[in-house]
Order: sequence, then C-alpha cells, then structure tokens
Amino acid sequence: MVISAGRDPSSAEAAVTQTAPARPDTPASTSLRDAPWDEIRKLFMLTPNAIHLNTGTIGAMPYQVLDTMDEVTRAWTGGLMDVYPPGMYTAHRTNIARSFGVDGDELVICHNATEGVARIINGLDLHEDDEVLTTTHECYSVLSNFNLVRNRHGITVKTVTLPSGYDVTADEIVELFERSIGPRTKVLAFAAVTLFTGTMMPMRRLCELAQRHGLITVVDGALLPGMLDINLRELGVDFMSCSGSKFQCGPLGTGLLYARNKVVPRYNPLPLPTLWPIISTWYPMQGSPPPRTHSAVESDNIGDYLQSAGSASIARGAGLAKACELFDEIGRGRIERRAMELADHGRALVAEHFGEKSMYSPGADPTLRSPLVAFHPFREARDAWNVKKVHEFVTRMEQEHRIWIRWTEFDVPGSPHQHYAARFTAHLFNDHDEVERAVRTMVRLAEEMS
Amino acid sequence: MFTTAETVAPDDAGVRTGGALRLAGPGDPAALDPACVDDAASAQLVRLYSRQLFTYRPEPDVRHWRSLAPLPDLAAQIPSIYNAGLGASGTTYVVHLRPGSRWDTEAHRPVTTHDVIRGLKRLANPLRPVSVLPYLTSTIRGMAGFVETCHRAFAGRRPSAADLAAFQHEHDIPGVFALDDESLVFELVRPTLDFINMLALPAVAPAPQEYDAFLPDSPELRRHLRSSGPYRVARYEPSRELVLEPNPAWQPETDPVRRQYLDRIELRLGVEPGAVAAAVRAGEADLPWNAAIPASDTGRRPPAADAPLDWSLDPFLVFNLRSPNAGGALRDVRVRRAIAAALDRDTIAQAVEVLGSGAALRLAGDVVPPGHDGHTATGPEPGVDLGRAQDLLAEAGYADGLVLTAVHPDDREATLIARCYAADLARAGVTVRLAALPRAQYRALLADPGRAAAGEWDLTTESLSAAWRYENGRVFVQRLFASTPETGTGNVGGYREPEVDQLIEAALGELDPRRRPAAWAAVARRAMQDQPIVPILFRAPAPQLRGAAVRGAVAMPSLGHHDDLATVWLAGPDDEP
Repeated sequence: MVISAGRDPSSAEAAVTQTAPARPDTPASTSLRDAPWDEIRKLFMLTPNAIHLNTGTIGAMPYQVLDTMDEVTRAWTGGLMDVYPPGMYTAHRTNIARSFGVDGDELVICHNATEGVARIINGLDLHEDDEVLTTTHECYSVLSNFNLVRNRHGITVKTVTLPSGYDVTADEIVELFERSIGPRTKVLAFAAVTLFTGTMMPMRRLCELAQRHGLITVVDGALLPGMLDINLRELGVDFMSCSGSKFQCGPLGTGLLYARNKVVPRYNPLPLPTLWPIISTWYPMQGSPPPRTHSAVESDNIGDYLQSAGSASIARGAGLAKACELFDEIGRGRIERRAMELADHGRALVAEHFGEKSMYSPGADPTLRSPLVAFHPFREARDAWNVKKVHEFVTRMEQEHRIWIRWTEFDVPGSPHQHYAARFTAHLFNDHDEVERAVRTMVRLAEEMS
Repeated sequence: MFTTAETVAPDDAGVRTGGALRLAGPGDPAALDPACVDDAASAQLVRLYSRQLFTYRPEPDVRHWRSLAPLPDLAAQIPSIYNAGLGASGTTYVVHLRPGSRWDTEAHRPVTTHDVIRGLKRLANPLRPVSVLPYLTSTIRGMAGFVETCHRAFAGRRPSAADLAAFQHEHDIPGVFALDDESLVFELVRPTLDFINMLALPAVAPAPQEYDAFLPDSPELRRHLRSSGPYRVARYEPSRELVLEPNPAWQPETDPVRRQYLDRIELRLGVEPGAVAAAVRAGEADLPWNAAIPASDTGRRPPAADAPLDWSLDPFLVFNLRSPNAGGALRDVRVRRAIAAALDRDTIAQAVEVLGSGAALRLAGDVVPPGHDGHTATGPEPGVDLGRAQDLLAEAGYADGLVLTAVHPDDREATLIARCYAADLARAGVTVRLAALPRAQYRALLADPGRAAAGEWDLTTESLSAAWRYENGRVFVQRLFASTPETGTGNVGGYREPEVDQLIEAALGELDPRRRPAAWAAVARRAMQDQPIVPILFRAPAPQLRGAAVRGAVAMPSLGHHDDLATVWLAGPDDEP
C-alpha cells in the first residue's frame, strides 16, 4: 500500500512546496519575463571568474532551486509523514506537462535521461526480428539499452551514421532515415539534439516519416527541456526521455519521461504503442490496466504507473519543478531565442576564424542549428582523430583560461576514423562577451597547439 | 587522465624470495621470439620477459570471472566508453600505455607505442608466420593489405633482417597509428567483441628497435632477446639450456600480474618426458616443461566434478591439401572421408590414457569442443567404418591402396598417436610412412606452404586450445578453415573454400549473442562437408606435476593450462608442505 486512505497526493505535495520561501534577492516573478539578461544571470549559481559553456553536459542551477531542495529536505527529514503521495508529483507533473503542451498523465519525473530511456526501450513490446533504426550518434545509454533488448529478445538494431558539417541539410537527414527503413522496422529512435555534433534533428519531419511507416518514435530529448519552447503533442512523438539537469538547470539526478497517452490524429494518428511499465509499484498485481485509448481522452494514467516506483527523491523533484517554474516565468520562447542567438554568434565567430569546413555542427540550414557548436580547432586534419590533442585543448581551456567547454567523439560517414571535436554550448545565463572571449581564447590556443 | 592505471598492490605476505627454479623438458622451445609464439610451452617462457598490452590474471579458480577477463598489462586501462577508449561504433580503440614499463636496454628505455606497432608489423614477416595472424588481418583495418604487400615484396626470395626492417619503416598499417609515445589507436573493420583478447595473445607483443637487426626467431635473435618483464634471458644453448635472471629494468609497481621472486630460472632442455617426471619426483627439478605429467602422485586434487572443464581439440588429423603425393589423392574429398571413416578414435584415446597424461578425454564428433562458441552437441560417438572407407577409396580410384607420409613431433605421445592412426589406415589399405621431427623443425615444416606443395608431408596431428573462453568462436573455426595468404595461418593443410570464407565473414559480423554460436557452428558444419581435418579427441586439462618446493604456481587457460612461472616462488626446506 502506498497511498494513505482519504489523502489526496496532490494536496500533500502542494503543502510541501508551499513551505519553500522565496529568496530575498530573487526578482519578483512578474518581472522575470521582462528582466534584462544580466539580471536573470544573477538567478544562477555560476562559478565566479569562470565561463560556463558546457550546459550540454550540466547546467547551472538557480539559487531558488537549491533553496527549494533544502526546504523540502528539511521538511521531510526524520518526519513521520506518508512519503509516498508526494512521490507521485501529481501537481508538479501537471504543471511541467503544461509547459510542454501535454498532460500530467503523460509525464513522469524520473532520475535522469538514462533511466527514462531505459524504461522506454525496455518497456517496448518488441519481439525477435523486429528492427530498431537509430544512429551511431546516439548517447551510449540509448545504444546500450537497445543492445540489451537485442540480446534479450533477438531484435535487430540498425544504425546509420548521421552526416556532419556546416552544409548538412534536414533533407539529407530525413532521406537517410527513409532509405534505411525496412519491412521489419518497428522503431525510429533519434536524439532531439545530438550531443556530439549539436545537430537539431528535424524532429517533426522524422515523426511524420515514422507515422507514414507506422513506426514508434523514441526520442532522446536529454538536451531539450530548457532549450526549446516545444509542444510535444504537436511534435507527434511517442516517447521522449529528458534530462532535468542540463538545459533545464534542475538538480542533478532528475529527468522527465514523456509517454504519449492519447491519440490526436492531427499530430499522430497512430494507435498508442504498447509500453510495459517495467518499474512500477502501481501496475496491477492481478489483471491488466484498462485498454489504451483510441481517442484524445485518456483511458488510463500511464504516467502514474511509471511514476509509482517506491519512495522518491521528493526534494529533487521539487527542485526540478521549481526550475521549470522559473523558466516558465522567464519565458521558454525567450530563453530559446537567447540561447540560439548566443550560439549563432559563437558559430559565426568560429566560422570566421576556423572556417566553415572546421564545423561538425550544421550552420547553413537554420533548422538544424542548436545552442551546441562542435568544430575541429586545429590546422591539421589528422588531429581530428587525436583524442589526446583535443582533450588537451579542452583541458587547457579549463585550467589556463577557466572556460568550460567539452570534447565529443563520433563517427563521420565515409571516414574510417573516430573524430573528436571541441564543443561549446550557450545558454540563457551566458552573454556575448563570454562567447567572444571564449572564441578568441580558442583561436589563440588552437594556433599555439597547431 | 588517460595513462592513469589502477595501482598495483601485490600481496607478497609469506612469500620467500630467492632461489633457482629448475625446469626440465623435452626438445627446444618452438619459439623464443614473441612474434613467433604459437604454442603454450613457448608462451609459458615468453611471459617471463615479454609483456602485452593486455593479459590475464593467474587466477587459481578457472571458474572465476577473473580468470576470463583480460586486464591491462602494458596498457593503463581496458578501453571502454567510460575512458573514451572505445567509440559507439565499436571500431575504434584508443590504448594508452601505463607509465614506467621499460626494456632491459642499457639505458632502460621505456616501452613505447612505436614498439607496439613494430611488434604488429613483425607479424607480417613471411619467414615465421603465426597461426593467429588471420585474427588480426580480418579485424584491423588495413592489416590484411599490409601482410599481403609484405609477402608480395619478398615473393621468391628470402628477405634479410635489413629488408624486413626497411619494409616496416616504409609501410604502415592504416588502422594502427601512434598519437605519441604513450597512446595509440586501433581502427577495426567491424565491431569485434574479442579484440582485447587478441591483443593479449603472446605473439601480439611490443618489439624493441633492436629486433630490427635480426630475422624473426633466428638464432641471433634468440641470443639478443630483450625483456620488458620481470626476468630476462641470461643464457641460451639450443637443445641444452635456457637460463633467466631478474631483469633490473622491470619495476614491480608497473606490472599487475607478474612478480620477481626468484634469483634464477633454469630450464634443462632435451629431457625425455619420462625422465622429466622422475626428475621432479626425485627433487632434481621443480617443474616439468613442455610435457604433460599428471599430478596424481603429488596430492593435488583434480577440479571438482561440477567444474566446467576447458576442453581443447587435441588431437585432430590434418590433411595436406597441397600435396601432390599419390596423384594428389588428398585433394579428393572421398579419400579424406575414407581416412576419417577408418580412424579409430577409441584406440587413440586408450593410447593417450596409457601414457598417463591425466587428462579427461572425449571422442570428438565436432570441430569445436564443448563449452566454446560454435560447439554443437552431436549424436552418437563417431565410430570406425572400414567398409565405407574401402568403398570410398575404390570410388576415388585407390582400390589398391595408396602411400602417404605422416609427420609428427618426436615426443612419445605424438609418436604413439601417429602409430595408432597409421595402423588404422593400414587396415583400410592406406600405407602411412611416419617421420618424426624435433619440434622446432616440425613447426618450421608445417609453416612452409612450399614444402607442403612439394609433398614433404601428407598427414599430421595437431592440437588446438582456446586462448580465451568467451566470445571465442573464431578460435577454432576461423583458425582452422579460413583461407589465408600462403603463409601465416593455422590452416596448415591449405584448405580454401569461398563459401566457408563467406560464412566466416558473416559469423565475425554477427553481434547477436543468440545467433553468434549458431553462425560459427554453421561455418564448421559447411567446412566439414569437405573434411579438411578429422577431429579425434576433446581433452580437458588435468592438474600437472609440481615439485614440493613450488609455491604460487597457477595454471592459466591462456597458457594451455601450463603454470604461470611469473608468480612462482620456492619454499625453504623448513617450510610446511
């Protein structure tokens, strides 16, 4: 038994979150939507005298998120209250889901994107000889879980290597997937934004492609929340796993899992794919849940099955909810434009100093751009497959110049080599001066190391 | 970051250092040059002075995962996605060397990535190819082309040491390159689950630049061996004696598996197995070498009945398909099938048992032994069918019989096995002339396709054990049946069948663990339709004889269940037995 009789989980959760006081220096919520970026920057716990251009790995948490976690932790530590109802995060899920154009019964707060994607992939109703089509540019957590299912159920995992470079177009990517779909393909899996080259995948077009072929879509949206102002319903995706601690700037150890729970033909006319909630306290001990809906009205709460997983990290969930609330207040569209504009500024500078040919990230097709920019910093082409040199470049940026970027590794079509790139990521708390200083420093350092 | 290795923390408590370990055994080492090591007896010696990028632990319980899993030796870490050593496509490995490993050169020069690459390039030499070469040529990008170019460069002539060194300097293996002295990259043609195991093979060892002055495993090189391990060769007199002494350049903190407890290791060569056993039991030697002598009198207990036994294919009969003898009779599959039908495995098993190897034996009805990828449970044990043998011979035009030459090493067991099958074949009308050779000469003969084509031999028996025991389908099937260039192959009989090669390619590319063993089994099944070999026995190791003073000896599967000498120490006269 996980819920006390007569107790409303959402009200218990609300009681917890209401105890968190606002910081004295936090701007009033009404002002955030219009607050200048240098004021908004003050909301975030940024390391002094450092430039954080690695949100693709880990975001900077707002002070208010830390305060919330602290308050909730204190409220529950050593207490005798029923810990299970707030772990369902009903109110948080409803609020967060609304920000992404979906409903609370479709959204789950989980521990990270890896857990989310593992629960999706292992919960799919796949059988021997079913094929999954994905790319070599996926996060390891995606590829390892598909390999697990391959080993367990005998599915086939087909991978394609995405094109990379400044001139890549969305058409190329969609055509690559279309060419690769076969008669046994059941799942199309891709990242919303690839972590290696920062390619904003043509998500809606890929979802439409999948729907034309009757495929399930599994999207690794680790970087998506907090980066894009996006409506998951309109995207037409079946499943998405997200990180709460990257662009969304929530606590480490938080994530979001989206599972489509209603059929809105305009966006995705396909029946709801079967999902076995492999970690669940509330999945019935006898019998089955009600049949899945064929309409826009949910027949069951798939989110609750997935959310109910024993005791939860209540404080971290509350922290993530607070981060989402703050981003809503600032305005997700505004944040997206800011991050993209900063990244475009950096991209133009990289193209100017290193050349468009140095870029692994797309640039010519604006629809493929993201706030992540990956490029080859050195003069010699062969240094692109020298992990030590690229690693040294990133390390020296950090140690000598206190500028945090990262290196990534990935396949390039037609090349026998594993390529390594320097990657910087812009977000709302960065500014033009930081981006310019970072590129100037990278130019000097690359010249020195070349 | 990259060269950070797990700290080496040996447990030397209670170990007595010093003393001379005395070994005795028949013959001469088949190889002392690591690049030419194909047999367990040589590997046992080479492990003392030659380190690989990766190796295995001496784990007393062979059932334990630690005995299966490779660990970094000269490398700092096992490449993985966690240390950026392995890419998502599974075709790029980045290996970083552990700091502090040195050669016993005058200046104690560090072992570098260039030495690793030199070691790989030396494997391409056409003079002393190793049977594991096809593993590498089918895996590393451009390795096959490198080997082919090397062989073409020296076709029809015997290269000098300078020729080989010049070739190695002027040519690169496209898929292997050094980033600097301590890091190198391997690029593969396909994801390869057992690649680290390949890099743990004794033959895949770094070579110092001094080796450029010598032909592979030449007498001159044997006198100028360099060491990266805890011991080094102090003296070598062919067929008489090999003496090793501590290597002053070796630092214990750089080596996770080997120790340097002894003052000296003395191997007396050319001693008959019977005399070896007597010497050990009399306390005149501490360990046998290159001789299977069960420990039955020493009180060592055999493995528990439920322990998974590490079966090898030992022996199997090989046909020289290149031989022109008897009108090229062995090129006719009917003749090969006739010989298979005439062979009495039971008699051979009894002969092996009489010699007292102590091993568990099964009649082999399959190429791949039980417990290895590709093994298929077979039906009734294979029997003798003399009538079928005679019918097949008559059908092939040999109703009046034929004469074949069988070669074998000059040790007791190989001789007895050869006599057994010669007697079997005589009953079917096949006369077998036996030729016994010292082991080194025997190996040189089998490695030379020119001598095979000249008909210097028709039949022989070989043995094959698995150097690794997980994801190891290639170990038996690829090695025995893959078409390869004229040299550098374990396929000594010269079997070639494009359909089998295609099946091998498919098996190598199969990543689904549920389909992989079946893919290897399919290769074996198709190849055996052509009967290029005759499996005779499966054999599982038995505990071997050790002298009373020997401590710390662990039989390792990767050494064919010979003891790892690099951890041995000697008890004193007053120590408890």
